[in-house]
Formats: sequence, structure tokens, C-alpha cells
Amino acid sequence: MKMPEKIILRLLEDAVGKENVSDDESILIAYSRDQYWNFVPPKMPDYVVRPKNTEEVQAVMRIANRYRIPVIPMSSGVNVRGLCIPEQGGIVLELKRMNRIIEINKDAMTATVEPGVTMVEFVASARKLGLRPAVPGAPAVVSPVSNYMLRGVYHHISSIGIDHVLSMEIVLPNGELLYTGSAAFPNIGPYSRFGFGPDLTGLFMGQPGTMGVVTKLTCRMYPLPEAEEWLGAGFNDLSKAVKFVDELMTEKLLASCWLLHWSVPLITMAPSRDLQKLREDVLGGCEWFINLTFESSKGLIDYKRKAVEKIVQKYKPDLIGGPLPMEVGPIKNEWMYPRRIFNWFKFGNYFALAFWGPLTKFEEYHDLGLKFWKKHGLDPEKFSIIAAPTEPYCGKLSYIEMECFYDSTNRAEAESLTAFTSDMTNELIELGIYGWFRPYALAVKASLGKLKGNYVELWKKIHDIIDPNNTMNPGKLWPV
Amino acid sequence: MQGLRDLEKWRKFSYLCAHCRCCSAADYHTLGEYMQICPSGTYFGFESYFSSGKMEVIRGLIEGLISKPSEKLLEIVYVCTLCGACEKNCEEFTLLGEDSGGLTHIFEDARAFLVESGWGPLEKHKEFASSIRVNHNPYLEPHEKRESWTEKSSLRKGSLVYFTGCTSSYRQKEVAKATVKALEAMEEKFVIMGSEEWCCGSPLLRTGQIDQITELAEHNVKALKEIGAKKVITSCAGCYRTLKSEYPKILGAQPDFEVVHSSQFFAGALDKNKLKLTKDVDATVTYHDPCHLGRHMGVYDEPRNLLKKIPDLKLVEMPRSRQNSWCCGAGGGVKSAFPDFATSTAVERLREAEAIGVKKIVSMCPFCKHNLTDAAKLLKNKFEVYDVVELLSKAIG
Repeated sequence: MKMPEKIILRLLEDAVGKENVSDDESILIAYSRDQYWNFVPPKMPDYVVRPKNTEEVQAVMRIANRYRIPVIPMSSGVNVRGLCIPEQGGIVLELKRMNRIIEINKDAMTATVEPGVTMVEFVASARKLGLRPAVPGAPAVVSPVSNYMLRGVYHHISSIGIDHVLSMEIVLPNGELLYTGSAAFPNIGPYSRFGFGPDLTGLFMGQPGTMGVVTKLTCRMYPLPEAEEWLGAGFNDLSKAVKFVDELMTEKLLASCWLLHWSVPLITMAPSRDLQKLREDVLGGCEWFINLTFESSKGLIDYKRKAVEKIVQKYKPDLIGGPLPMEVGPIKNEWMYPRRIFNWFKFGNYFALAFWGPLTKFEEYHDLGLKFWKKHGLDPEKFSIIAAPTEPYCGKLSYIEMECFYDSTNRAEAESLTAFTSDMTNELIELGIYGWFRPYALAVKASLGKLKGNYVELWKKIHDIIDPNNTMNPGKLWPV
Repeated sequence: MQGLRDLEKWRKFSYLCAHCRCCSAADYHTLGEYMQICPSGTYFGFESYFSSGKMEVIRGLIEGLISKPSEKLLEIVYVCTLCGACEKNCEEFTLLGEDSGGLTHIFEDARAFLVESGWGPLEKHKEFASSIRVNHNPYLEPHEKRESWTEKSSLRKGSLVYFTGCTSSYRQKEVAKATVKALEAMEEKFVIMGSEEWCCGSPLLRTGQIDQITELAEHNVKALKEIGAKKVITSCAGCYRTLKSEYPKILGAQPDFEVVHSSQFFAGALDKNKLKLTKDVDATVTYHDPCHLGRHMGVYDEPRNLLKKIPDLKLVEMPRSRQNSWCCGAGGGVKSAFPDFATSTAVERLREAEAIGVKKIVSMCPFCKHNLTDAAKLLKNKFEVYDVVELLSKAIG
């Protein structure tokens, strides 16, 4: 049913209040693009709508469903990979006004939050109770709801794994409510992932806003550690570095253990653009840097450090100890989570291709990435790659990211990166990966025809049952 | 479109903004909690009112994607107080922040673009620009009354000049009086410019109305030269920034005199024992950093040092202070064009003071005092608002 735009505007105003809806181009343009614009071209929505509560979200969804208007849910607005760009126009449903921390339950070790809550608010509130949530290596103003719903990588505490969601309240595309896990049961808290039957929480995760709008999310909480210490190790031999990290992960001694191409810690933590000098000064010229994070009681850390020392002795890193990148310059608190991401954009915009794979294939991923980097005429000095092995370390599970920082206004470089992404997407599937880190449009669309069995068809069928009018962020997963 | 060339230089920077949105929050590692720092974004909510969104609006203007001067567009561009809180989270750390020289410049150029293209400024801005042209002040007051705050006749020649500023001359006269009292206590010979003093031009620069600015700068510099100025003291943080930082750019030359803010001047005087504070001022106060003085000019310590030297006075800091300071809400032409928003922003500041148990808020800019006082009236005068120099003058006795 096609309705005149002004009538749609009035309906939306009735739903959330006139001051919370706009179709003015000077408002819309701020939602048309993120820093990934070279890969996901800008497109303005037709409306931006800012609901305050679940009931208002339901009202908007009913309007959108009835008049077949695309809806793109957006939480805190930090959107670096094009997932909230309204490719088909429609409504950007901006959820920042839904910003209540509904509960932090110290007894249950859980918290329930709305999508407009920022990670930094969440951390500050939890800290008062001696708790902390899983904090991603992302700007601190990100939404925990979006981050957890899409599953993240929690660099400094990868020992707590990648999935922290227990249950959710979801507004479905037709405006109806779904409660997952124990949230569906009356007279009890939303504290259990598993209520009855299949894992509906899991079904709705990893989706780029294509199955509904998460309006409340209950997640796990963790105790604040008594102490935190770091140790740095440098290697020139990548093979040895990978084996060193693998053994540390297998022994489960650390809160986290990243393996980083030398440029990454210096770009993201150090205060100067003179990277080669920093490489010499801070990393002793090493090619690879490993950051080992200890967390526990002080006594336990001492014990763990002794155990780690034995592994250090076995692998004999080219560099061990400080100065660590996070101790360089005036930005020591950059290492404190939630991070302010100082310096991330010191070299321009951020490009990344991220996926899950076994740590033991890291060298192959590196070699393949560098080969195609050069093939597309990209500067090999800018090619970076990291591994963040993560619990459960079954299958040597590791987050892998190929990345660089670049001037996005340099069209030639941007086009080369686009071609690289396209090639690498195919080549990585050929080489073997566990999956994409996030449902990025470029990677997901290229993968659809390559997955075995009924994976994609079933996913599409489930989507079509839940969103038969294809109003939820259309075009992000399947061609429209 | 006219003015596009000036805005075009920012195209690259609009692309470099990564939309990390770190500019929307105060430094939480320093504060230990999450606090918003962008007044317009916090109040209006839509992304366009935050810096990251405004960079997109600027891109839209450059690329012709914004095709008409809607009420919203003008509100977005002009409701920003240009406080610079966003750029402090960006300038040292990102390519955008480092190479652009600060987001505030970009937002000021966007206003100049709107003026040149005929889309701006707002009616209230035109009104004060017209008053500056006719009366040499933005308050629609007759120029002859500029000196009405003082009955004393001043020297007309001398090396030390008190540039009173429009707000202290017409709206916050007690700041001017207190400044003179402190200068007299030092037994300094100083000159008040009187009718030779014209508006510094700060309100015009902030609202993109740059056509008069050269004339104002030339007049004030010429007048100061004729007086024989070697050192010029300002009460107003806006005058200070404009005279010290912007006149040399406008005129293409460094004037022959030094410009100091009253906080710097009196802090120096106390250090050199040229000024004696003999009376107790039994009060607990908190200091509000004026944006033009703190973030824009880096003067954070001197006002605090003055307060710390006042006998019996206790200074308590609000969570958002120094470069994390929450703007009073008046700057950038906001007080005249968006008075409700300006007062609401000042109310937030008073509430912050209240949260630390302080009812006396002190600033070092008459325009901040003006707006905070309006907010205090709204809160039924539970709060007292002062300029640091007023407390200093009480301590002189």
C-alpha cells in the first residue's frame, strides 16, 4: 500500500512525537554514510525516527510493515562498516533515547540494558558494584546491545569468549514482541539463555538488523579483577610467534594474548606518526608483537607469570618486557577499557577485513593477504594483520583481521582496497575460515553461493517467515 | 554558490571523520564516569547536532546534497555554541583533528558560507550585526553609554589599557567595576578606552558575518596604538581570543601590544606581590571554564590560582572541568538566537555544581556570567554567580 510521504510522516509523528521524527535532508544526511563509504555508498533514509520505549518501537514497526517501508535499526550511532546505511531508503530507527540500564544484578551476575546505553555508561555503573561487562576494543560510546548481538571480540579479556547474551526482548517486523530464553517465562528474571526448546536468542544474533529490533538485552557480567598486568614479547619469526601464542592459549594462563603486526600497536596506542622510529624504540625493530594480559589476584598473577616464564624460556622471543606500546607517550590511559581509541584514525580511515579462523593458519592468512595486497598495487608497508585467539579455544579459534589506515579521499587507493576485499573474500573461503566476524554486506553477499548444504536457504526461509515483507534493513544480506 | 570555495577546503576532512563519536563524551578515564560534552547534540538528539553529524552536513553543503536552507539546517549550523569540546577529543589524536586545526574553525566557516550564500545568518544575528555597525556594540545600546558603568574619568594615554568589552560595559558592569577596583589597588596607571572602544567583533566572527570584521579590528588596533598601548587587559574571554588570536590573522600583522586576560594579569600581580588580598571571603565556590579562555586559548590555571589565593575561599572542582568543561551555552550566537537552549545548557551546568554541593559558581567571562545568571534566575536564585575578579575585589577590601 503506497501512502503519500507526508501522511507517513504524520503517522510516525503520532507514534513517537513530532520532535523525534524528521524528513529534513539536513537531518537525514547524517545517517547516510559512515567511514566505510568507499565500500557501502552513501544513501539517505527517508525518515529518521527516535523512539523512547518498546511501545513506540512497536508502533513504528506496525506503520513500516503496513506500508512496506524499510526499517534500519541503529543503536548508539557508531557505525564503521556500513551496516546501518539505508541502502533502500526508509526509516532509520535511531535508538539512542532508549538508554536505560534497567538492572545490574550482582547476585545473578547479569545486567539488562536498552540499545541506547553506551559501553562507557555500562562500565561505570557496573564498576560501582565490583562488576564489569565484556568490553570490546571499540569506541567506548558503542552500544553493548549491538555489539553483543553481533558478537564481538573482547581483546583484553578474550578468555571470556565471544558470546555474552542471555536473553532479549525483540520487536518483530510486524510489531509483535518476542522474549527469548527465560525472559519468556513469567515470574522469573531474564537470566538464562535457555528457556525452552531451541535457542531463539542465538537465532536472532549475528544479524545486521534484519529480523527485528532488540529493545532489551540481558547479558553476563564478570567480576572486576583485583590486579591487571601486561607483558610484551617481540618476534621476527612469525612461525615461532604463532607457536608461542598457541601454547599460551592452550595453557589458559592469560586474560588475553594478541599477536599483532608491529604497526598495529604503534598506530593505535603510540602518540607519533613516525612509526619506524617507534618500531625501533619500542619494539626493538621486531616484526611481530605479542601482548600478554594477566588478570587475577596479585598472588595468582605471580604464579601465572612464573608459568609463562617457562614458555618464554622455551621460545626465546627477540624482545621481552617493556617499554610497552601502551606505556609510550602521554596516552597511558588508552589501554584502559573502554578505550577512547586514541590514534585509531591518526592515519586516516580504517579499513578491515575480519574473520574467524584457526590461529595455526595465521601464517597462511598473512601470506595470502600480503600477496593480494601487492597484486592490487597497495603499499605493503601499510598491510597489517592481527590475531586475537579467543575462548573457547576449541579449533584454535582466533579472530583475524587484515587492516590498514588510509586516506579515503584517495580514490585510487580506495578502489584498490575494494578490489582487494573482493578477491580476499573469495580467496579466504578457498583457503578456509570459520566464518566472517560480522555480517558485512561485501563479505556475506560474496559467500552466499559458496556455503555447503542448506545453510543459506534455511537462513533465508527463517528470515522470510519472520520478515515476510522484507522491511528490515533490506539489501544487507540478500539482494533486493 | 558564493562561499563554496572557502568551505571546499574542508571536504577532505568531512571524509576523514570516522564517526567514532568519541567527541560526544567527556574523557571518562579522567572523570571515572560517562558524561556528555556536546550541548547541542545532547539537547536536540539527532546526529546532525553532534560534530560527527555536522561534518556530514558540511559535506552535504559542499556536494550540493542539501538543496535548500531549511529551518532545520539553519538550526543545526547555528545552534552549536562552538565550545570546542568535540575538538579536544579529536585534535591531538586523529588525522582530521590534527591536520584541520580544529573542528571549531570548520563550523565557523560553515556559517560564513551560509551568510555568503544568502541562507544565513539568523534574524537575531542580523540584528546584533546591525547594532555593531551603528552602535559599536551588539546589545542595541547607544555607543555614548559605553562608559556609563564608571563615573571616573580615565586617562586617555597610557601603556596599560583595560579593554572593557561590550558585555562588561552594558550588561555585567560589576565585572568592569571590580576589575578597575583591582587595578586601582595595584596603583597601576591604566586607560579605559571609553568611546574609542568598539565591539571586538567576536559575535560576528562566530556567526559567519565577517564583512565588518576588518573594519572593527583596524579601528580597535589603531585606537590602541594612538593611546600608546603596550599591554591590553580584557575581562571577556571572547574579546581575549579575538584580540590575541584573531586580529593578527585578520590584519596580517601582529599588533604592537600584548593582550592578556584579566586572570593572567592579576595572577601575575599576586605572584609579584603587587596586589594584596587582605579580606577573608568565606565561601565555597566552583569554577566554570569559559570556552574561549580554556579550550580555545589554553588558560586553565590562572583563574584557579587567583581563587586559591583568596583568603578563606574554598575551590571545589566540578566533574567536567578544564578541557572537559561543559559549556555555559551562550557562545557562538546561541544566546541571542536560541535563548531557551542557552539557558537550559546553563541550568545543566548549575545542576552539576549542585551535585557537588556548591551553590556559588564562578567564571572568568562576563558572557558566561550573564548566561549562568539567567539560569540561576530560572532556578529561583538558589545559585550565586560571580566573576573571579568580583571575588578578588572583595578580598582586596
